[in-house]
Amino acid sequence: MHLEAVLTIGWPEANNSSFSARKVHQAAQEAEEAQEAYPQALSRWLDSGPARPTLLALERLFRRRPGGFHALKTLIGALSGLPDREVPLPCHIDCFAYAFLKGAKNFDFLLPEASSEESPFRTRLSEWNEAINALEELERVGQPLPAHLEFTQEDYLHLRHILARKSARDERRTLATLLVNGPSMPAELKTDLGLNETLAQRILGLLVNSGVVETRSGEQYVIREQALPLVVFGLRETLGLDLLSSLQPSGRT
Amino acid sequence: MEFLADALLNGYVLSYLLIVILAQMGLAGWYRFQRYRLTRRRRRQGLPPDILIDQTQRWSELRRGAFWEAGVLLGTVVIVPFIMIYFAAPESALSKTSEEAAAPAQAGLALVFVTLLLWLLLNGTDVAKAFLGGLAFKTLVAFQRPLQVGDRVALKGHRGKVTQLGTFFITLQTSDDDVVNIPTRDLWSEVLVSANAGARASLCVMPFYLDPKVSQEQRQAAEDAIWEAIQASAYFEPAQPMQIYLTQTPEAICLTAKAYVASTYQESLFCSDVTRAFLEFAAREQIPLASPA
Repeated sequence: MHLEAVLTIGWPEANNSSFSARKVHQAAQEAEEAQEAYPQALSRWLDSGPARPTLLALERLFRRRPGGFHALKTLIGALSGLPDREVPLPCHIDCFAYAFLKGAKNFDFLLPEASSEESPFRTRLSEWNEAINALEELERVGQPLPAHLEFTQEDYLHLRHILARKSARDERRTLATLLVNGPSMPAELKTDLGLNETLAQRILGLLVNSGVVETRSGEQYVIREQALPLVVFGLRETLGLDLLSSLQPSGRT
Repeated sequence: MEFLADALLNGYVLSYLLIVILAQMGLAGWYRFQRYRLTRRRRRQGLPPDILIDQTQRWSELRRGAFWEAGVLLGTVVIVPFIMIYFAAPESALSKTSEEAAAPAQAGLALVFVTLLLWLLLNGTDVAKAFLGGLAFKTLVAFQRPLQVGDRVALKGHRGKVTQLGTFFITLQTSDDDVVNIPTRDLWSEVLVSANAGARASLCVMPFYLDPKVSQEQRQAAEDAIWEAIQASAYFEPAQPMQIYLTQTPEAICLTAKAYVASTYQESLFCSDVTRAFLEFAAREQIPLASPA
């Protein structure tokens, strides 16, 4: 079956939806324990839902850590093996997770980006490019940031103060992990990064105070949507991580 | 002798020499002023002196700088004397020189011009050699791009990050925070090795050694563990390919991982991340590692 990726931003909540990738995978695993094959369970889910189902929040099925890709690979592999349908199955996935998986796992072969509709990411990309260019000009020649951006110069200076410090290794790694993995609990970050729990809490607290990260459902920490260009620029210049470059329209780097 | 004295000791020759010297000083002063303006502008925006941008010098800026430096030197040495000879000619409408003073003035200009030219071509003194050799190398670098500021390079036995590409010295900062200044003119005949060639990412090669008696399952599990450890590292560059190669020696089975680190300056941290993850895996799964004989 053909799949296509619809790139989302801001990690919209989808945990309770029956179309959430995590719920679909869990249901298929439970069916497998009850002696029904995993692909069959998926096929049953597709047939029982609306005529044109959508898979949501695919990025919640993986974490960037050893062993963290298994669930995602299982689901995508099984879906790809199902017989073709009238239209490709749209799979909503966060743009940064997709950029990482595209490079690291060649996921765009199995899950190419949807061409029929413009995704939330594509509608925001030009704004983000403009914001990142403005940050470059601020750093390079001291040109003040334009007022219409979603973040202020103070927001940038506050984050820069943290990221630029040479000893802020764990802070940079935490932001990079939040960018790729999405909403995370302190225990998850502790496992992903090998931090001890108090350090993870301290770093998250620092990032929340800086205005870059917010809490969701009381327990999960996520990068604020308005702060995404700041984080992308900051990580690019400190860690070299440039996830947006592989998602730019061809002809632009 | 009197003619020679008249030729050399006149306003035109003095002006010519002053123009050559002041042009170089003026250009250096202009760059210093531009840097001061930039620092002040950044300070007004609340930014500290260090620039966060990875590649601090755009190629266009480097080329422009090299073009101006070389152009000012050649222009003042070669073009200015001809202009002044024209002004010195008594038949020139702009000339205020009398016929008696014109001939020695023009002869003096010509003599000083030829002397300067020979001095430039033959690198008469060590300072001239250093300046001209360095300027020529800087101009070459601006257009041919063998290396740039921010590259991790190996030059004359020293490894480090290029922090400054000057006319007299190229400055490297080593991993031990030593500052090494290498005379620029000495690099003409050197082999220049750059780990990242202007890019942010660079290749890391990480060998891991298993005991030759490991089983096939253990070997495969080790390979998978290295693969996942690399992809899980926050320093990994996902847009570049990675590979793991196997080789065998009598002492060990060597798994060599080749992967790109997103920022070349984080290479040590990247290798450390992956190595730590692999060692933890090996201890957990009791995979025997190679030990010295």
